[in-house]
Amino acid sequence: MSGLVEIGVGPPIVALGVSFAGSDAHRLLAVRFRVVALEAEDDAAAAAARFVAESGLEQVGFLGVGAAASAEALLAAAEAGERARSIVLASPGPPPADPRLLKIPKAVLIGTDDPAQPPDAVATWRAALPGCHVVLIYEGGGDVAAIRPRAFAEAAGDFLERQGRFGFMTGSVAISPG
Amino acid sequence: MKTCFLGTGGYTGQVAVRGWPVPPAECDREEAAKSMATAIRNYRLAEEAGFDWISISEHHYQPGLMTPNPAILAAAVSRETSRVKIALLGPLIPLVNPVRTAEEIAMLDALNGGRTVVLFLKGTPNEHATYGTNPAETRDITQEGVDLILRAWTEPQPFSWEGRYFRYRTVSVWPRTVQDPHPPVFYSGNSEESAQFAGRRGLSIAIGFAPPEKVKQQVDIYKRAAHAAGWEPTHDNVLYRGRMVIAETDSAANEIAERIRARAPATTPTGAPAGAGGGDPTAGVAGIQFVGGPDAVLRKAQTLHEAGVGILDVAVAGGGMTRSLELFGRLFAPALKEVA
Repeated sequence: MSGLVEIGVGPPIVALGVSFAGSDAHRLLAVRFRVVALEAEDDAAAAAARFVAESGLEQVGFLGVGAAASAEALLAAAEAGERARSIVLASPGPPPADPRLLKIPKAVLIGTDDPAQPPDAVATWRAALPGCHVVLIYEGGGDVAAIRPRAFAEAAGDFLERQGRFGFMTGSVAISPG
Repeated sequence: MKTCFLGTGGYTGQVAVRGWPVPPAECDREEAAKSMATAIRNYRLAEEAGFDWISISEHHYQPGLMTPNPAILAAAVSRETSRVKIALLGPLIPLVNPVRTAEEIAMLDALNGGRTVVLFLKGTPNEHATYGTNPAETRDITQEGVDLILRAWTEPQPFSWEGRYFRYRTVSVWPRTVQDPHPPVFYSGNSEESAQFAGRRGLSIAIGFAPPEKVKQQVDIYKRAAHAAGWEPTHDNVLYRGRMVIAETDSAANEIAERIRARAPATTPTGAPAGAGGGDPTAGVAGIQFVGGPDAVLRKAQTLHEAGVGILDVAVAGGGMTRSLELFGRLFAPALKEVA
């Protein structure tokens, strides 16, 4: 059994995460993406893979919010193969023992004060996902999407949009352009 | 007890305009260069006099403390000294780019062989007008900035920072600080909230111009927060900043102090009201916290030590800077080292 909540228009994102569907973080991300949030009771990775296959989408971004959903998102992205464009894991907990080696751009969002993350969490994730970008969400706690939804949506959205070039900002910094 | 020479980098010429900001037209260009040379000379003399540290603070738009970027003067002093700790007391976090500050301090630490100490502050109210900072946000900006700088110094791989006030998509500071994991970091201990923040984060504290009973109260708050966070500060974690007027005798020091008070402006160089609180000549930033010969100064230092202070950061006066530093080195520095 699974539910699906789709918001927004734009490049497609498949999001996995308990309580993510319809949340502030979901709505904020949907300002510039078509965000399809799946809430699967059993095998979320399979549900996501099924959705991607049936949707006919050629390029999809993946998002995992929380520990279990992040592990599922990694599996779903691996299953999607060349259709997977990039992946963001938010408050992912410890890395799975055998993470799939994904060649797509990867980012991990971790709260600076996440009580569940050990001090070496950043190094652990770097080792588990070579080449991943680490984004520290200040005071994001153990659930950056729920505690800092705007910060989450900015960082995740920019990465899903521009991947490795997300360090270059696209918005103007002009104060009085007129 | 350790001692720290609080220099000013102050303008050596005459300025007719007081207050803040002071118009740049008041600054003679040649005199500005002479002022910097004098400041560096004074820091060198302070090392020779036996000070353990020298300190440089950040202030803007006025002649009394011409150090808008303390790291620049610190770099020059680093090459003119060999022993003293070089203390930036300190960068004003709401006014700066914290990653740039982390880079500058790391660079400074490499320049001076690991002698850097730093105190991160939020700045005095007038300084928040320097670059257009909302005073209501300075506490939160400072706390986030400090957390970011500490992370920038300790994270071994590039990372991104998505904060409330700072966003950096790539942080990767070079060089690393010579001191491992980073230079000693102080934070304001002047308020209950700031002392608690320092205790929670494992930082040292600096308390300015307060009477000993207030110092003890703040140190107790700080130590309780540190204990709750799982560590126990020592005297080396508590710095006290004050003004010191010295002479060979108490009466001679009192005469100098009276002359200083008589010509004190209505505002401090940073624009704060200069009036001593409640008529107490030792109160506030314009007060003089230490006045006397060696015995009187030692008694005050001992009282502060009993309140928890291990480092005295003092602006010394005693009839001209050269004479003051010679006097300090001869009569005060050796005795203050024995305060324990």
